[in-house]
Amino acid sequence: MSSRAFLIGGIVSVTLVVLFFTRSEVRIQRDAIQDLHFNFESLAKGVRENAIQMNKLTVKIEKMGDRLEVVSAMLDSTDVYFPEDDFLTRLESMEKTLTELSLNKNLERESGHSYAQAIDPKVVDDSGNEIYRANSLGESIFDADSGKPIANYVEGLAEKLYSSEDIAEIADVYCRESMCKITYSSLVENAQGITPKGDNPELLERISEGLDGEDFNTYHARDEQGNEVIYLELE
Amino acid sequence: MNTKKILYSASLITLLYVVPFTSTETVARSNATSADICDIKNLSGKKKNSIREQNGEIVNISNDTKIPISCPISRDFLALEYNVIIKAWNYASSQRTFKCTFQELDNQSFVIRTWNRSVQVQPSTSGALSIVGKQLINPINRFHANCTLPPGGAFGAIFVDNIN
Repeated sequence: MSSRAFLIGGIVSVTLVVLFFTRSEVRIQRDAIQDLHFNFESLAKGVRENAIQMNKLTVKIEKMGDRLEVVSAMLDSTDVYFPEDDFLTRLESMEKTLTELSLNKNLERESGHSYAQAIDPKVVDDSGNEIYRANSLGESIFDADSGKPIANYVEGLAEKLYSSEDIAEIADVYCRESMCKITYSSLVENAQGITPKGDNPELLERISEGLDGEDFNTYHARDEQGNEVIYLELE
Repeated sequence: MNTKKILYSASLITLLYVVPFTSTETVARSNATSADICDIKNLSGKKKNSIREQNGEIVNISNDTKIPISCPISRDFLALEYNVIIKAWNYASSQRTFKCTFQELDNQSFVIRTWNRSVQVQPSTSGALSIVGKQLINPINRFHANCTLPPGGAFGAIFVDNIN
């Protein structure tokens, strides 16, 4: 009896274990089916959204097609507008002005001073000889007078310049803290017709000697009396 | 502390990505010309024989004569700034002084302004005369250089950096 009970108990136990595992498997399968269902739902939603996007794209393509037809019609007609020569000239002029303005800004940045005009005024006589030529950049730097001090060289510079009778007739040497303004009539240019105009390498050599060989910069102009003017600064 | 580390790392990575795209780098296009394009100024006869043009160089072969020469400077029209560098060589046995006057000329060849530079060069070595970051007052103006070649001196090349 006891062995029978033991057998039945064993069978019941095995059955229970089998049932337990079967149930667990069913639960897993059910969960998997639920996940699959959820995925199908997401996929369906995605397809619906894509369909909406496709519809929008179709509408856009149709609109572009309409516009293309309009453009094509315009090109076929004789009423297409092309800019006139005058318009192009004005555009070119505006472009040039903008370039000059841009350059002025750059020059202001370089010199630290306001520089109003890119092209300085000139006065030319009937023969094409220049009577008056301004140099706004040189004048503005001379007025600002904020460069490297030049006082130590002024005496030697004046001595060299005033002893240059062979190349220039010096009218005036006026020095401020950092710049000198030299007014003169060039004898070399008139005698030898050197080009470029206003070039006077011999005078620059004398200036260099007067500055003990220091590097320097010059700005050239011609005043109302026809005198040559050099604004001079140390580098 | 960890939050700080994360923030620092994020900032560093962001900078590494962003900086290369936001830097205001200037673009320079350089061109070099042999100095034998320079011409002898106002010289004739014996002095003219003191100059030799060889291997792209212009050389003063005299022992005692300074030779003035004139060098055209070519540039890109649309650049905003220019560096002009003239390479000088000293073949003499003692120190030599090279001088150049860099000019800005207008379209009628009037001198508008000049930059006067000099350099002392030891024997058997080279030096350079230069102007850096220069802008033309008017875009139609041009650069030109008038230089002095000392005895035994040579100019090898003219470099122009066109900077936008």
